[in-house]
Amino acid sequence: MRYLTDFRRLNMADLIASLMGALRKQNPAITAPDADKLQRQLENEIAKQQPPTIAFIGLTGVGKTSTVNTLFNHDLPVSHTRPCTTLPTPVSGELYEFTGAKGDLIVYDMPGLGEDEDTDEKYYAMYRDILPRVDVAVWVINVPNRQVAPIQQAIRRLRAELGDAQVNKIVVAASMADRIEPYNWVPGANIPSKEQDEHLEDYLSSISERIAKVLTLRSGGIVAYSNTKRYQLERLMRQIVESAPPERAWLFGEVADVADVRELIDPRFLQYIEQASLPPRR
Amino acid sequence: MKEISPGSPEFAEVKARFERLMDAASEDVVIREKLTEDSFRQFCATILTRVAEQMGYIIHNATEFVRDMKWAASEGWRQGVTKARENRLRPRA
Repeated sequence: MRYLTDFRRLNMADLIASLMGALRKQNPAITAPDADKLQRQLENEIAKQQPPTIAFIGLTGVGKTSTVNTLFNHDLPVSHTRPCTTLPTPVSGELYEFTGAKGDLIVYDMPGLGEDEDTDEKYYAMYRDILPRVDVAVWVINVPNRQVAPIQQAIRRLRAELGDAQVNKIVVAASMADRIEPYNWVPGANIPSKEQDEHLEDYLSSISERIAKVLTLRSGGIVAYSNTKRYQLERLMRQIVESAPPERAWLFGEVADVADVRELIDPRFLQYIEQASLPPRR
Repeated sequence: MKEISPGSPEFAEVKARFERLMDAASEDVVIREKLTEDSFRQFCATILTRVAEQMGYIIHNATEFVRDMKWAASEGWRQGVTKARENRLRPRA
């Protein structure tokens, strides 16, 4: 059973051909040799675009590296990383070029706030430095952590110092959704239990209300996701693309390789659903 | 938690929530496709306008020629979401 639409990657050759056709039709003064030259220039610009750049901010152990893998690398057993030499290295945290299943990505792995006042101030300076360099920043907290005051304060300061455009790149997401009480994730169907769903809703409502005071939330609100269960990864990936600068968002679409939740669903459960969806026999 | 099967009292409730989640995920995929394509078109419009200007041409209404009329009318997107839902119930070929 499909149950989930497969993402269709851009057919760039066809798109470029149709764009050039439309361009020439609406601008008949452009000669054929000039149109060829335009197309070659466009293709050169596409080829030399810097890989999409993303920052993951969060405390140690919230699952930042796992998230990179489940969003951009799910078919490969290990993440292939190498030091990034094309961009300034942050004072702290890690900067690396990541080769996912579908292409390269530049990742800033940055520590989260709330462990110590002095290090918080140092980390804040890092966010201020890095945010203008990235396309998107994903701020990860882990379920059921409700301590968002340090995040609120940081976002407020960043907005005052860097402006709305930089802060609007930030997506707040809650990892480890499967670890919410009463820890009874439904096997087979691979979804939260009814009680977990209710607790997740309550948790997200609580943190969303507070984060929304400093940040406009993406459509769908704050995503509670799980790398282990591949839960809500498509929602998170969508929010990442929504948050990227409009002319760079397509690069994320190109390198995204979201782990397929269907691989963790029991085929027997799918059969039960199929049978239950059939019209009753007369 | 024990296996959920059609004989389980919670089967209907689990089935409903499962299907809602899959529908929502399919919608997320369709929206991401649209955003990706719109972004690429916008990128192309900017580059072509700039390069054309350097060559001595003025491109009028660049955003018009990059718009796919199907998407612009929203029907293509709605159809995509509807098709995703239909595919959910159709056996894989």
